Order: sequence, then C-alpha cells, then structure tokens
Amino acid sequence: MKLLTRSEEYILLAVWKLQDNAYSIPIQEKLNEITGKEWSLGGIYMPLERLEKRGQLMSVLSESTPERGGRHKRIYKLTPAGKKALREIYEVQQTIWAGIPQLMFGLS
Amino acid sequence: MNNRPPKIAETILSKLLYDDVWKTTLGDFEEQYSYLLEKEGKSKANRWYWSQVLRYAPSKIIHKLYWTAGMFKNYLKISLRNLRKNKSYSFINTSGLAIGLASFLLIGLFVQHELSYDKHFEDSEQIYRVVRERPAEQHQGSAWHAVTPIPLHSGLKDNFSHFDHTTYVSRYEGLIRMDESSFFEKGLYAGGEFFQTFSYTWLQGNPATALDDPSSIILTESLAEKLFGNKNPVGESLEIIPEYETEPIVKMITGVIEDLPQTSHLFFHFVTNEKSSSWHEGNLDHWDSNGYFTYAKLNKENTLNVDLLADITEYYNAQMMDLNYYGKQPHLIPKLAFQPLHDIHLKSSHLRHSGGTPGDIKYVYIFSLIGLIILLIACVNYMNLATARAVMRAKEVGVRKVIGALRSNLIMQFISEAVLLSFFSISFAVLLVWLFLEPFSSLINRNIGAGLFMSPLFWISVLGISSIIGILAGSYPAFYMSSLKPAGIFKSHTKGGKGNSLMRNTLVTGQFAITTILIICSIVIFQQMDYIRSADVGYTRDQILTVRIKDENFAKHYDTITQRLITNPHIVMVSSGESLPTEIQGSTSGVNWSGREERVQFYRNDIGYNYLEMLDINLITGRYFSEDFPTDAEQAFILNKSAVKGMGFTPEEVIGTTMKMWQQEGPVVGVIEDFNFLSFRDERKPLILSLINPAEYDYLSFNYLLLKVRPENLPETIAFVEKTVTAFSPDYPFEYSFLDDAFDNIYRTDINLGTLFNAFTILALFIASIGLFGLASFMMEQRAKEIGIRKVLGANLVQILTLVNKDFMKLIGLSFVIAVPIGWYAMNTWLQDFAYKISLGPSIFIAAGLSAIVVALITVSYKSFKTASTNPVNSLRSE
Repeated sequence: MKLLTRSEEYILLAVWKLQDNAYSIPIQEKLNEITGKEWSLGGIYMPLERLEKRGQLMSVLSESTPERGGRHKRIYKLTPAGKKALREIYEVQQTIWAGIPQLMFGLS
Repeated sequence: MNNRPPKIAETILSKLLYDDVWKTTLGDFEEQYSYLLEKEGKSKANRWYWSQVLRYAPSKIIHKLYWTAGMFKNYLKISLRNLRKNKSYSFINTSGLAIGLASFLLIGLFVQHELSYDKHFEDSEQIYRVVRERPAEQHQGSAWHAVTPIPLHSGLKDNFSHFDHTTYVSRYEGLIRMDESSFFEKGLYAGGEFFQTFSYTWLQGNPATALDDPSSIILTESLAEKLFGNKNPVGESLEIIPEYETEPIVKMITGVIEDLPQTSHLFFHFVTNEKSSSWHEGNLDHWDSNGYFTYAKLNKENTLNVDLLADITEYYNAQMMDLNYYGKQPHLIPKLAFQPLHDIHLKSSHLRHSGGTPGDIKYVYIFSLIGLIILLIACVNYMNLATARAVMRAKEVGVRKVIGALRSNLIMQFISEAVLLSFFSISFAVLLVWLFLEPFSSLINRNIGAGLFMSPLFWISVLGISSIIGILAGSYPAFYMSSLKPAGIFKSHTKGGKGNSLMRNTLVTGQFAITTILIICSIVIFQQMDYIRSADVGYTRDQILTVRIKDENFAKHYDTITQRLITNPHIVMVSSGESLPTEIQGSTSGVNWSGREERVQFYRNDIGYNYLEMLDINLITGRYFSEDFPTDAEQAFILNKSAVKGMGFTPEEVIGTTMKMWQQEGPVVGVIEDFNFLSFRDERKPLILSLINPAEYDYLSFNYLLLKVRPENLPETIAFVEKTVTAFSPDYPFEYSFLDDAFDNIYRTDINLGTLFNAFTILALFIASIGLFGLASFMMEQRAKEIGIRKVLGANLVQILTLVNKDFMKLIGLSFVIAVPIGWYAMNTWLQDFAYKISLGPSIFIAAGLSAIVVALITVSYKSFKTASTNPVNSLRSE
C-alpha cells in the first residue's frame, strides 16, 4: 500500500479531529492553524477527492446554512481504511524519527 | 445590502463545475466569501472571489476542450466513413446543397449590390434629392418628376439654416477632344456646393475651390489616365463639345477624383461648372426652369420634420405664385418632396427624368425570395435524406446511448455531421459562383463581384452561411435520431416512425409545391414576353437601321448626305425623326383646336418625310406628309386614332381641322392607326405628329437618321452608311442600332427576369428531383425484399411500379393543388402591370403540373424500375 503524502496525512488528521463538522472550510482553518501557513481551498479539494476515491474518506451531504447561499455541505468522515493508513504513516514516522530528536536538540 | 458574491463570477464558476458532485464547492466559496466580507470588507472579498475563479478557469477550460475535441475527432471519423460508404447519397446531398448555396450566394451578391447604392458618401443618410409632383404633367401614369428649378438650391440654403449644403446638377454627354482622338463621355454640369454635398476621394486638387472657375473641369482617375497617361493633368486643358452645341469649349483641369464606385446613381467621368453652359445661364434664377436635380444635405442636428417641410412648402409656393402660369392656376403648383439619397436607386420607378440605370426594389424582393426558396429546397433535401437514413444509423445511435452518450452528445454529433457536409457543399458552391459570376452579372446588367474573392467579408459570410445552413438542416435529423430508444432499436426493426414519415411527406409536398409555383411563373413570364415580342405593335421594325446624330454640323449637309445614301441599292428609304417609334417620350397639353373642350395630353414627335411610310404605319384617312405639299412642313399635323377619339371627332371629321401646338398652326392632313410607341405596360395614347424637314434648318432638328435597308449584304451597307456619315462629321463616333434591337431593349429587364426565372426554376426542379431520387432509392432498398416476394408470388412489373409510384404521385398531386392558387395569384399580380397581356388559362397550370409530375415520375421510376426488374433471388437470398 502506498504511503500517504504529507498533505493527505494532515487532512486526514484534521477530518478526524473535527469530527461532525469536517467540511472544506473548517478543514482549511484547521490546517492553517496546525501548519501556520495559508492553505487555499483548491489546495485541499484535490487531496480530499483522491482520499475519497481511495476509500480512506467517505462523504455525506448535510444541511446548509444561510451564509452558503443555501447550498449543501459535504461532510467527510474517516473510514477504517483511512484510520489504517494513518496508523501506517505514524509507524513509519516513528521508525524514521527514532533517535533523531536527540541529535537535533543536541545541535540546536 | 447585498452579501452575495459577484453574480458574473458565480455564474462562470458554476458553468465550469460541470459535475453535480462539485456543486458543494460553490457553497464553500460562498461561505469563505461571507467570512471575508465580514472581516475584510466587500471589495477585498470580491477580489478574492474573482481571483479564485480566474485561477480556476484555465485548467477547467482546457480540460473541457480536450475531451470535446476527442469526441469531435470521433464524429468526424464516423461522418467521413458514412459519406464514403454511401457515395451516391453523399453526392446527391452535396451537389444539391452546393447548387442551392451557389444560387443563394449569387442572389445575395445582387441584393447586396442593389442595397449599397450611394452609401459610400459621408453622412449619406443626411442627403436628399428634391422631387416634385406636377399635376399638369402626367406621364405614363405618374406625375412625379426628379427635376426641379435651379433657384431652389439657393433658396433652400439661404432661407433654411437646416441645410449645410445644397447643389444642383444635370447630366450630359460631351465629346472630348485631345490632339487627334475624340470620344463621348458621361459628364455633369454642377452648380452650388456640389463637392461639399457629395464627398468624393480627391487625388489632385482642392474640393473647396475646384469648381469655382466657369472653365474648370474635374476628371475621374480613369479618364485622366486615358487622356494624359501618368502625367499630372492639373493645369492642363482639353476641348469639349457638349451635346446640342457646335463650338468646342476649352476647359482647364482643376482636379482629379478617384473613379466612382459602380454603386453611384450619379455616374460620370467629368464634372464641369454649370455656368459654362450657354443655355443654362439663362435659367440661373428662373423658378420656371425645370431640368436639374437638386440635392440638399441636412445638418446633423436636424431632421426633416413636418414643421420644416411646411415652412419649405410655404416659401416655395410663394415663389411659384410669382410666376404668371401658376399665379393664375395655383392648384397646378407642383408639390415638393424630399427623397432620401439611399432610396434613389431602388425607389425611383415612379419618377420621370430620374435617369441612370435604376434598380427596382421589387426585383430585390423577388430575387431575395427566390434565393431563400432554393436554399430552403436544398436544406429540405438534406433533412429528408438524413431522416430517411436514420434507420440505417439507428444501431449506431443505440450503441452510443448504451455506452453512455447523452442526448446532447448525439445532437451535437449529427449537427456537426451536417455542418461538415455543408462545408463540402460550400466549397463546390464557391466554385460555381466563380464560374457563373460573369454570365449572371451581364444578365442583371450590373457589374457585381469585382474583387469578390479577395474580400474577407465574402469568405466570412461564406463560412457563416454554411455553418448556419448545416445547423438548420442538421437539427431536425439530429433531434429525431437522438430521440430513438436503445431498447426499441435492438429489439425489432423499427421503420422510421409514423411521425417521421409524415414530416418527410410534408417536406416533399412543400418542395414540389414551391417548384410547381416557380414553373408556373416561368411559363407565364415566358409567354408574356413572347406575346410582346411577336405582338403587332402597329409598325414594322425589321431591317430599319437607325443612326444617332449628335453633330450640329450635320444639319448643313443633310441633303447631300441623304442623297448620297439613297444611291446605294441596298438602302430603300431614308428618313429622320426626333424620336424613334419605340421611345416617343415628349408630351404636351399645349394643343389647341377650335371647339376644344377636353384637355387632352398629347404625345408628340417631329418626323421627316417617309417616316410613317418606312414603318408601314397604316393610314385610316387623309394622307401622309408629302413633298408635293410644301406647306406641310411646320404646319400640317397627323394624328393617331386615340388622339382623334380623345378630341371627340371621327377620323373623317377631323381632316382639315385647324390645330395649334405652341407656335405651329395648321390643318390635320391625315389620321393613322394607333401603334405602341409606349411600353406594353401602357395603353395606346394620343399622338400628334408634325413634319420637320431637316434640310431647311441650319441647326440639328432631329436626333435619328432612319434607313430602310435590304437584308442582303448588311455589313457592307452598314459600312457604307458609316463612311458616308463620318465623312461629314469626322469628330463624332458612329452610333447605330437596329430598330428591333432597340425594341427588345425596352423589355430588357423583363426578358432578363424571365431568363433568370427560367434558370432558377430549372435549378429548383433539379434540386427537388435529386432529393426525390435519393428518397426513392432509399425506399426501394427498404422494400427490396417485399418486392422480391411479390414477384415470386406472381406480380408483374407494371403492378409493382404502380404500387411504389402511387405514394409519391399522391404527394406530387397534393403539391399541385397547393401550387395553383399561389401561382395564379402571383402571376395575376405581375400581369396587372401590363396593359396588353396574355390571359391566365388552365393550360399554363396543366403544363406546369404535368412537367413537375413527369420529372418526379421519371426520377422515382428509374430506381423502382431497377428494383422491380432485378431477379428476386438476389434480393431474397441474403439475410
């Protein structure tokens, strides 16, 4: 199985954290908050679509709010496959970072 | 306050997001937008929204184009395969459409030419020609005249600030002499502010002052080149002898203008100052003069409204009241009207003395209609054949639908197929236009299409027309075929549904109805023209040679010349006349006789000895003019029957009655039969003839020399006449024609109309026939098995032919029923114009109907005969 990219990983994590409110705008805000960088909406649509196609996310249409001009929200949820992928990438990172923090802190 | 994102941007975005799944994105953007709106204000939010849209658009558009292009590639491939597979069908469709398009393009060129007259002048919509209705001067059913008094132009300019410039002009022909050569050219006398009213393109000289000097002349580029080659002609001089004058006038060239476009109603090669003409000078401030076109250019802020017209009329009436004639009879004062410059070319048929080679708005309408009709017939062919073949393509449609093509994809496919075919056709059509441009131009007597193939406008319209035609012709088949249901297609053999064949039958019927109408019109026009040409006009026009004389010096040698001419054994008689019998135009109401009660308008003509004898015009009573009665000249009158009737006499009573016309007073010596000196559109009118013996005058008292010649050795006779005449007037070109040609010229427009009508009718019939042929061959293919089985069961050839032709004949019969009343109405209206006309008998309609039926029968039978005579084994064997 292919590993997640960095942005896919962040998005999956954001969706997990946001729970029932996980649609594009809050996801974007969350990412901005985590990374401290500006994410464009277009920049998160593509990974969202990819993740959904791969079955790591699922989406449902929910009710709309007035500020959306009466349009539906697409709420994302993590699937078991998504959780599995997160766990995998977490393990890979654990392995790859093993021993490194001491080195880094030593240097700085 | 509006808290929504910019409307346009939102629309663009929603169009780009073609997939329903993506519609939630719109919501996301809007939410972000309202967040920004609150935080950063409207302008910033708008800017953000737009930047998102613009950043998004390119990739989406490319994405869309890429996939569409892929589909088109497939459509193209399938279309070409289909065209190749059914060669005869493709040929029928392309050639039909090509002929239709070519006719449409040619007619379009003609119409465009006719509509573009005089539009090349600056502010041309502000220029008007002043015309007058003169109740006292009826002529051929209209009292409108294009000519006006000279002082009118200054009167308008000086008293009405509404006009920027006014001018008055008159046409004439002048003999231009330079060194050894001399030739006639068309020219203008112009006065007032001619070059301020009409903007020409100046190559040399100053438009503001060029015409100031009475001896100035302005040439067109081509005349200047003819006379001076590449030399700058300004400052040079030339000699010119105006018509009806003897003495050459020396002119200084003060300017050169670019050649006039063909589309100018005032066409000339040189302009001279009006004051240079000796006999115009006397008229300069005479309100009773009448021989000039007056043009006025309104300034931009003004329109010709009712108030202004009323003021002008009041001013003008006051001037007219000062004249003795109108002062006594104010009810006869001519009425003024302003004719827009743009209308002059097409809407002057009611105006006398308008001159030029005017067009007629009627012909523009008629030909536009014919062009559209032919194009329509060609489109109908396409629609018919394409829908008929729908059955063949049904499986393809089914497969495409099953694979996932939307209805809109299929519509797109069939329309693009039609557009492709129409592009093929238009290439042929352009070739046809190129081939037929010359003959067509000469037939309509217009030089159209010069530089046509270089003009981008032509190519743009060609592309435009073919796309539109493709879309129009392709839309019905496209909608029909895309509506087929896949399940139905695969389950059974659907034979193009009932609605489909109804549509097809309607179209075939309509096509043949239109064609039959055109055939009816062609026959009627042809018969009417034939009737006119062979009708007894009351005089003989064979073997009469006429020579136009313009040289004033000719008068002095009249006797010598005629005596020399008559010595030739092939010349039977010589005479002279003011007008030819084909074109007697002069008329007057100034004829008096004792006991006159009626006011009779007489046409008049001055004739020489032998004029009536030469033309075999029959005498009812009295005698012809004769040299045995010296008092005949300038005294005696001969009347025609209508004139006698108009005066209230019988022919016998009128002989010897003293009549007075202007200064001439004398007895009526003879009464002749009526003859058609006017066009056949008019009744025979009263005519009064007086005798002028040219030998007795030292100025030119006639316009034509008439010679009765023997049919043998004509070229030598003409050469002899030319030698004799030019010996005495070497400067003047020899202009001759035969009277029967002159006669035909009067009906030139009608004859050409007839020829064009015939040509287009044959085309329409041809297009409709090949359509029918295509339809018939398709039907036969479909019914091949049925016919095979019938033959096996014992049907003979005749029975089978009757069976298959019956359906088509019903349609043709129905179209005939539709065509007859419409054709009758159209032709009855056209014939109303003629005082002498054929009657619309049933034979015309039967002939038209029969020819349509025969053509249809041959077309259909060709194919059905082939199918019916094949061995049934062949059609039944294969499955």
